[in-house]
Amino acid sequence: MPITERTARLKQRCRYKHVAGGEYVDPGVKAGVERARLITQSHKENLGKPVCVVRAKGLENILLNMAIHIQEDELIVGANTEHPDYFPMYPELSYFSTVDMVESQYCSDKEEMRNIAEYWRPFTIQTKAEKYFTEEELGIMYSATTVQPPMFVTAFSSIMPNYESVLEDGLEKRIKNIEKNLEMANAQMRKSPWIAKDNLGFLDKIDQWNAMIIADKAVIGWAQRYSRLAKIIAENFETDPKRQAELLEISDICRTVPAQPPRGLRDAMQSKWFTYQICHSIERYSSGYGQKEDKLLWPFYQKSVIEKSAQPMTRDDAQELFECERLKVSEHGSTKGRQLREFFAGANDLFILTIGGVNADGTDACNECTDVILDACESMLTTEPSISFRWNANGRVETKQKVFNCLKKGLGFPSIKNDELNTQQLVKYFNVPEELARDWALVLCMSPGVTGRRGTQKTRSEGGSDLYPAKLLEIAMNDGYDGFFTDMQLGPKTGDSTQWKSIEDLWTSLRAQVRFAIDLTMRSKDVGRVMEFKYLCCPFISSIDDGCLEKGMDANELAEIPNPWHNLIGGNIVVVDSIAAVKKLVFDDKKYTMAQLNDALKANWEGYEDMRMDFWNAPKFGNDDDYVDSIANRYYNMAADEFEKVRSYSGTYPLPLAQSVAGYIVNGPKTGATPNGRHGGEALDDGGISPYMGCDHKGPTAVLKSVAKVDMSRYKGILLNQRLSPSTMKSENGFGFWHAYMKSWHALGLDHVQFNMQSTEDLKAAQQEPEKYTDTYVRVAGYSAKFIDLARYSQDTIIARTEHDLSSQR
Amino acid sequence: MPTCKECKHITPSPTGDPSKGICIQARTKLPDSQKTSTAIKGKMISKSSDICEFFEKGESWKDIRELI
Repeated sequence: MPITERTARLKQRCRYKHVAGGEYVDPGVKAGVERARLITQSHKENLGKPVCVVRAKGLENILLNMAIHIQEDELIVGANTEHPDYFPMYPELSYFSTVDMVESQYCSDKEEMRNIAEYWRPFTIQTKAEKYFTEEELGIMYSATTVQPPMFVTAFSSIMPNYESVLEDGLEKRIKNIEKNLEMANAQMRKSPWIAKDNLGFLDKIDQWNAMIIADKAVIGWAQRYSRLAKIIAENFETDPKRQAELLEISDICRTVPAQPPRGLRDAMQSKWFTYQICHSIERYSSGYGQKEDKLLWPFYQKSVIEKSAQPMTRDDAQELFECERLKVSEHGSTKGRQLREFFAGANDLFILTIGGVNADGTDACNECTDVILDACESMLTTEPSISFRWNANGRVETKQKVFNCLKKGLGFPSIKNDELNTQQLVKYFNVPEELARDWALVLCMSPGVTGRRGTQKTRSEGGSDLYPAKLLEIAMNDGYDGFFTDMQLGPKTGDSTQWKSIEDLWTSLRAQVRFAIDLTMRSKDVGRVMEFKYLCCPFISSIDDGCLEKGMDANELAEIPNPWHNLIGGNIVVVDSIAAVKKLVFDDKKYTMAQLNDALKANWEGYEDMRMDFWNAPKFGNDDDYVDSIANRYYNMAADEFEKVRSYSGTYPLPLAQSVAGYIVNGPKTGATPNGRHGGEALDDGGISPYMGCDHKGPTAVLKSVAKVDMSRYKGILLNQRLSPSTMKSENGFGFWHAYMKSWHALGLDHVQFNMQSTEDLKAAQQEPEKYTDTYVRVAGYSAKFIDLARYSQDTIIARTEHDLSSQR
Repeated sequence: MPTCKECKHITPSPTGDPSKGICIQARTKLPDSQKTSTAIKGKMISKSSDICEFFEKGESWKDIRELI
């Protein structure tokens, strides 16, 4: 139950914006045209000026003219659109994404938006980037079959904003610092004698700094508009004295932040929210809710709740504020392109905040603020934002108990990440000093990145994008050709699989397809990166990063701390189990030939059911069976080896990240029959290393042992889904069983684990009578969803996961 | 002559490419050995293609439950 009547009311009328099957579930959700209209108007007026200044003026026009609103009961204000039912549009990003939205049922202003889309077409980063690729390459990428389409067409990005610099400095101080840089540059350029090489670099910097000032002043102006609006409502329209006082306090807060540093927790939460809105959805669209929230807000929590020296409040007041934050996130309109809307079945966006772990000095970072965030999560019961908990051996048990309480409610989160392993990854691969590395938070579902005043990840062209392994295996067995979904040559010609002499031929062919897919997608990311800093500068995001501010550089261009990663999405275990089945039945036992297998797969196993059952019953990952687990280890190492050959924009190689989002669902219908006994069009394996649905027969410990045979340290993350018996978890000893399991998980050095705790009976009942199960949540992948909002095909994949009972773990 | 664009089994292309779509009409029931019940054999199509025998006029987004 929400902790106050206010948050109960807010939850009741929350305008959720989650999607299923690529469509918004709530029929009231609409595309707002104001952002697109205002940025277009500004672009026409400022064309010809430096690109960064044009971008800053566009942001200014949006922030100073977009309709703003404050809803009843709200304590946190600020939205990205003119109406709380709307999401904004970004015509400057991708022509296809804009047209898709304009022609959809969500857009009412079709004529105006069609004109806007056509105006922007030559300026979009899609158009700018496409010319560096052949039609064939674009066709492969745009089919979203072996690889994710590039950022310049999906319009999808991710960012870790530098909240710390906004909270510690306030924007007015940052503007003063930028003005000092401009003074210094102007003075340097007037020194005698004139030395060109020492001074011409200032030209770009001066443009960038001027753009940053325009952007920062616009953001302050936007907050002041909220301050005035709150005051106007309080003094002219609100009749309830209590709400009048709240509105006047909101007015005071928005007059103070983000211009100045926060005084207490209310200020800090509001300043963080304003910053989030600009960085993630107004200056450009970027997914995520990356932040180490309990560290970020802890100083202000102490002032307000513990010391009561500024904006005093009780612990319950603080919990109410965190509940309000959860609803603001749930209501936030996110505008993903279609490919990502399909990939987030049941979700609004990938809103994931991080808590727990250790402080920079190595001491336990769990504090009372951590606990209140978890309490708000448990009391509010919303799927968003999701939470990632950094599990450290030294983390306090009472906080872990609160993590368990949330899981027991069936939310499917917090997901658990291995704190020590992820810290060491940043130290080992990206040369991050250990003290800084200890402040990591997830950029999106699974990928750790640094937080703080500088060097944080700013764009998905740094880390992100996907390969689809099961499809790569399918075309590896078909000379690079896809006859199932696209009827296209999707990869290099790697030969006729009926002529394979040993399992090594399969590995060679698969490796070649992976190689091609990596090179194509890495090139698309780096080309996209250049287009971003040439045409899609982000002056506000740049202004809050100390590095960008010092150097006068756009945030997309500066890669101060590399953080490259690349996803292997859904299907990893289909590949592993398939290789094991081919090895066993074709090359070891010689029961079948490759020609017979190819015939059976092309027939989608029709007429080959006995043969299919042999392949289905071949050794499967997740049962502590060395035969198949050794193949898993080789497969994951092979992918890591191939990524290691790359040098990306930021100068190093990306780490692979094995996870699924809802790709394991969406890519099922794109993937033909596979040698693990799976039919064409059947869903793939969920997670990054979860056993295939129903194939783990030997209990939860056997799953952990199988997973532990893979070298996690070479990966940015590896997602493991587990489904636990709710009756055991809700029993008196539930926490004890789970805590023992988690200690084993940690001792084995695994990267990640997350849990579903819903019974098969309940989920099947929810399919029959959805109106009775409106508060049933499930963990789909790196996010959770309301079960009843998922399409039936997706629902079945959750029910299909093996339910383990920890009370009988071996 | 109607085209695939008007068929309720067609979803928009993953990139939003206005000329392409995905046909999700072909569904089969899976045998009991499998833990899920349905396979959907997707097919990338051109929205301007002539319709096939499975054509049904409509819009896929109106029934989210039948999507993926």
